[in-house]
Amino acid sequence: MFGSLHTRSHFSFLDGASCVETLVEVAAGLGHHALAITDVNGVYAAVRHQRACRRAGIKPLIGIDLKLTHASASALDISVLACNAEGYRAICRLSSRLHESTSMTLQQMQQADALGHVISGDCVVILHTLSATPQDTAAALADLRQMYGQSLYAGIAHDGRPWALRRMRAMVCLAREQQVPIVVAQDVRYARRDDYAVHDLMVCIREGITIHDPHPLRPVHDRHCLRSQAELRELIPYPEAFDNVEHIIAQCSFDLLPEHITPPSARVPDGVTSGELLRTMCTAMFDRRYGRSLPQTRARAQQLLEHELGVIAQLELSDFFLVVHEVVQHARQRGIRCSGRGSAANSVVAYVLGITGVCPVEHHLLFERFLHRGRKGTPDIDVDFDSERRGEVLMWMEERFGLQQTAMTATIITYRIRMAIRDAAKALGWPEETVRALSKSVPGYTNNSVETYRHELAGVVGNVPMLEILIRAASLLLDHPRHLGQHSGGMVLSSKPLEMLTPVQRSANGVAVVQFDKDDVEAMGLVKFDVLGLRMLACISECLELIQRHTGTAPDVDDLPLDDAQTFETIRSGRTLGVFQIESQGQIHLLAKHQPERFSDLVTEVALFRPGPLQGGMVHPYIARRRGQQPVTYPHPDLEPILADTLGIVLFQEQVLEIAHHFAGMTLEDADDFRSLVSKNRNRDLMASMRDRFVQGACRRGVDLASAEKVYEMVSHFVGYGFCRSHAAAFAKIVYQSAWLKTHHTAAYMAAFMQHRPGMYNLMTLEEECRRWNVPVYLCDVMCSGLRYDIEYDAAGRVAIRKPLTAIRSVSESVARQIVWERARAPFISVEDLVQRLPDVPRDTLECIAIAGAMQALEPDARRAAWIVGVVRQRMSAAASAEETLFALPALHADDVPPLPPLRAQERLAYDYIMQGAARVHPMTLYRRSMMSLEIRTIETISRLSPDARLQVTVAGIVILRQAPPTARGMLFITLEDESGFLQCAVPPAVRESFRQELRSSALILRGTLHGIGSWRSIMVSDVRILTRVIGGYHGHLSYAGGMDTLEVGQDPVLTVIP
Amino acid sequence: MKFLLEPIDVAQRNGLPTIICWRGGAYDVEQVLDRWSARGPWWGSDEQRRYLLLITTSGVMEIFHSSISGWMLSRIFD
Repeated sequence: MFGSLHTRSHFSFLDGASCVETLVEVAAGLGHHALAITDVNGVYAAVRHQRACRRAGIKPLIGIDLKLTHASASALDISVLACNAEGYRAICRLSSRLHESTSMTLQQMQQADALGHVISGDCVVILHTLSATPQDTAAALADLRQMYGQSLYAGIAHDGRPWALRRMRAMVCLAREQQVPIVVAQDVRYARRDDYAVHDLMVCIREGITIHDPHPLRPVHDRHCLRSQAELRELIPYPEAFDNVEHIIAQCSFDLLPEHITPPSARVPDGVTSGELLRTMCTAMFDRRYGRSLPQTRARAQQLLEHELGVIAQLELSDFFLVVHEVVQHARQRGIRCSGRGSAANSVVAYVLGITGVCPVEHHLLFERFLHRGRKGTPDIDVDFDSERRGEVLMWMEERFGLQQTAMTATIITYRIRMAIRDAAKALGWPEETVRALSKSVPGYTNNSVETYRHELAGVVGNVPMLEILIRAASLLLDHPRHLGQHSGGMVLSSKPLEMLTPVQRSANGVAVVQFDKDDVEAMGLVKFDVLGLRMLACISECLELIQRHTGTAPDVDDLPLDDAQTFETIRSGRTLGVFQIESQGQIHLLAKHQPERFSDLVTEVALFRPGPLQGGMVHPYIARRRGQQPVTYPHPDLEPILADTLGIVLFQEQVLEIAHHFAGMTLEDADDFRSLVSKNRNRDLMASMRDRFVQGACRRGVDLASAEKVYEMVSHFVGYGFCRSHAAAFAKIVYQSAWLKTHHTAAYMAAFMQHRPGMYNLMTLEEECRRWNVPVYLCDVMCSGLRYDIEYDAAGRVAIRKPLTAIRSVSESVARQIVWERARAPFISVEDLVQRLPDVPRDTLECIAIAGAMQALEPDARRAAWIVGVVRQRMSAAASAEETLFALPALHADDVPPLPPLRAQERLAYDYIMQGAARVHPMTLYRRSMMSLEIRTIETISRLSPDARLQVTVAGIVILRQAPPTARGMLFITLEDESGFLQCAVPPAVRESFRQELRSSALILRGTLHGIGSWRSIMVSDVRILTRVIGGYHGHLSYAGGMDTLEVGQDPVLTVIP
Repeated sequence: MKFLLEPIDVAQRNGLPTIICWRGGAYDVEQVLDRWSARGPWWGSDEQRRYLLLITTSGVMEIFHSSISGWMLSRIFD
């Protein structure tokens, strides 16, 4: 038996150049019987390695490469291989400790192995050839021999560099002197010789050097690849070293992929099983959900509950459900809003336990999409929590389940095109400015090759020879892991200490993270619970708190009737800016066509606007059928019960599953696999095989071949990301809640929305939206603003939003707290008084507060207020440092402030943007007269025009959104905003190409044909101008704020400060 | 030790040199002392070199086979 015992995969993060699957494939091809993956400081590849080895029929050995410091001041390169489960546990612990400190000594390694597994023969330790002196090597070998005895081997390798044989002989002599057995341990960094290039590139990136710089760690040859035993025997003339490879391979036997799961431990009383407890709880809580339901709904729910409890018990997931329920229950007790999403919403058990909020019976949700008896691994239960308080939930979970038993799932951050271009360009030695320009010239997310963007890259550096190298280098890097990241919410919960199963390391922000991603975690039988943060939930919570505080009572949004006419009117009219999921321009456009009338329409609305339905061409037929412009037909009568509520169109993942099950006769397990495959559409061979199974299955059920093929074609169009119905229903509930709050409690909702900013629009647009809804937004005010957005009622009972002090740039929470704290003692009576009472607040910050207009209650003129701040602060400094006589002087004399001109409109606007990110008047108001002369209409005027005439119109405004979704086939969507509203403008690819430079501007004039439906309007752009090139030079015009406009040609202080 | 970079002819058996022909002389290879390899920049010529350190009847020679220039004598040792 032979195999490589010292192999690094690309999970050594820039220290290995091949993926595990390729390494295993090549090793098997070379006739190896085993392969050890020994990545640097971790076992990141262990699960994939084990799987790949199972497929290839070779033995996986799991190990780790460590670098230890030794008393001889040399660094020891050591591999530790796990012989069994205990050995793996020791490796996990070692790896965890290694990530706690920057270096590890031999003694520390021994301490980390507290249970002595490495010593007791559960591990094999291999010391690799040292670059140190023979004396140091001898000392290290002696120490290691003393510590690890029979478990220690001296690794010998032909490193392919000059005098390799001489070094090998020296190592063999030292090992024989110390009676340490030798073993072949070639240093493998990649699978094939050609991977040498990517290895060299990775070393350059890792070491921060260019490819032109010499470095001792850079490879000088391509022999760090896997090699056959015969080839190595020619190079390494020590047969016993090969015998020892066989010995080690025979010694190591460990399976990381169990057939069972390791659930978290729920709180279950003695004498009761977790299954019994779950059943008891579901029975007790059933009436709370279904007490007022129709008898048939209740009966159906009862039937489903029984079925689900059976499946859950069989899959040993009762503990998991109890734990999730406990977490959700705890969050609610602490007033933390949460809501289950994803496929878990298909479960009656989850609904009854309060984990999810939509009834699976009423919404025809299919449990099998979530869980079925054939499911391998654990199901996903995703719960959204109030994003601001999610940390509290995580902390409580760590406390409740134990720090040793909880950690976050990792994500493997791989090279995408932009990062690949960036790192490759840097390694090729281009200056930082060019590197930035190159990386910006390609999209952030794309599946296209680097070659596709040759034109864009050449646009930055020209068609130089280095461009070819850049394209090659970046292509080499694509998809290789770059570093380990942290999953957004996947928390692993285990009843055993996690270090028995995986190393745990700390992320940059101190969070414990396992070394595996979600798929690997599932394969290991660990249970992951997605604790996600959703800012919209924080927004709803804050909105309800505001209502409660100001009116004394808050609505129960979880129990709202789902048929409020005003709410649906808001939705249908597209006034949904700020509403969860349906605020984008594309969604507003779809709302105009779809015209939702009931809750189930919202479920469809949420699901329609996804890449799956959009790319599958399902949106337009659905809308046409809904509007009665197209008849509702089914490719086969058997599909009518499945597709009736979506008018014969496949919109939900569950429908794909049901078609595969009912129409093609697949088992539910196979149907779920089919659904997963179709959604991802990653493997053509598998798709072809599934097609055959689908068609043959349908034919066996008596369906004719033509219909079977037709249905398959229809279903297979459901590619890309699409929602499952349960997820859409869970989200639709939040859509309805947020739309209801915006409709009935606009001020509180928009205040909370601006506080948490869960949407896609900037603050200026949000403030404009408030004004459109007749909700004034009051400026920050040192006399009444707090730390959060708030609402205020005036004497007439009109409600407005008060901006917080923290909305001012440079006002930190700490400064705002000082102001509020001091104000609570006694109100400020003047600017002078305020400055004197806040000695710890920096002068710059006070000036920002003044210029932002937040001192207007004390001094109406902002420029004068800022001046007073400067004078008083200067006097205070002088008094603090000089004699006592100065101390007695007043902080402000009557003649300290000269007559100052008030802020002009442009200045006011610019300061508003700079200080608060939003202006009290829209910038376009200052240009309106000029634009009217040019026949540029307001957006509100355009919205009133009929789209039928296909009029040519011209609009001008600030660009608030610029989107080019991959589903739009090269179309660019620009949303322009002026003082009257906003408008989506579609720029076709040809126009986009012609006006590439102009379209980058932040303020534009666009001309095009008017389109629209219902209240929705957009223009198809045919001509583009930059706003500042058309207007300007209007010196002497009447100013918006009175007086004369002093704007000069080429000077535009307003527009240049827009972020 | 002398640094040279001269083309040579090499007779081989089983991939290993047996006779080195250099400057009109022919030298038998008695023992292969060491071997290693080197590769040029992957973005450039991508030359591959296979080095051999030999004991010959004329002393110790370091030769290499280049994927571009064929067999070369790089160094001889006194």
